[in-house]
Amino acid sequence: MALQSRGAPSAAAAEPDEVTLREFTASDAEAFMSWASDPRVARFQRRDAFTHVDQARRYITDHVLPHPWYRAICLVGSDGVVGRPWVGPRRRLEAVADVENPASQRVLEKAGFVRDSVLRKYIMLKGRPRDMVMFSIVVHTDRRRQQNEPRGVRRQALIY
Amino acid sequence: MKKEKQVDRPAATGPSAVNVTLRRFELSDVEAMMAWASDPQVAAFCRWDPYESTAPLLAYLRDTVLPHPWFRAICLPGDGENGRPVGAISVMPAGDPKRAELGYVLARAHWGKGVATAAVKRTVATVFSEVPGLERVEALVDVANPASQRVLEKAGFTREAVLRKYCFIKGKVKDRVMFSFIDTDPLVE
Repeated sequence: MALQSRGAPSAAAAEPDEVTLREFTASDAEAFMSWASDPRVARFQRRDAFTHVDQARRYITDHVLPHPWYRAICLVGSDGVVGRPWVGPRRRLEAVADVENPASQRVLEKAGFVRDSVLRKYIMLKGRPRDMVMFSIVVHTDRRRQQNEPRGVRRQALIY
Repeated sequence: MKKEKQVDRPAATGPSAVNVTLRRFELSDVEAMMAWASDPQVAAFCRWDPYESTAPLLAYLRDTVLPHPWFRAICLPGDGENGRPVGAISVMPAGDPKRAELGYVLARAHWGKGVATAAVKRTVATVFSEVPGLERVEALVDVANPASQRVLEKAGFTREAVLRKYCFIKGKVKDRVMFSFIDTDPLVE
């Protein structure tokens, strides 16, 4: 999954913006569209790009709000939502990224995920089976390792 | 996920040394199933606890096995088409239309003879044409079960990854080894 930044042009510097996570609300539908309608983002997702904000409203109501853990990524100093990670059970977090999506793979690596391996024909994406790189972060083991990293490598939003 | 633990024996070389047949289960197989379902050594690597009576096993057979999309009895030659099963092998849809998870279990009396390997080979030779749309069969084996890992390797599966803390079984967090066989992989004779 690709993470898109919607910060000011100067935010393209080496030092990343700090992000915060919060729960979504129905009023985030317009912001949701900023990535959900982008074919470059939807390329690595199961669903096609949204074409109308009503689709985003329905998706938030039917899928996001009832989800056990689904958060909006917000840039500090901005009220806007720029993306969303979600996580499942808390002992092991895993994420898969398309083998042809190195940017998303780097997001996970920089966030402290460990690259497990390539799983062949693992996920069906828009009618085609895709090879996916499996990443995982295991609570306790990997967090100890993270605390020993130089400050510049650590990231606030360590989950996908 | 059902897995067996085999005693270390020299692997058979060349063509599969064992011929097995796979058939659908029937309710009358419950007594034969007890041979492995009641065995603590068999259950050790599985999610379930050993069965102590046939009544709950009959309910499992009736409610889970018979309606299952792909669940087969492993039978040995000489027992005829409706011979007594010595184990079970199943392929379960796994969260994606093209993917399914393989599981197998074998009575301890038949460990170490290539029976599980023959059953897995027979399964991957037929399941892709029997389950519409299936392209990937995967199997998750305990890291501490090398015998079951060898079954999959001998049957032509690819060892893909160790998935850390992947599942919680009987009060313990387990690492699993992920194996896969995709529809374009070559069959092993």
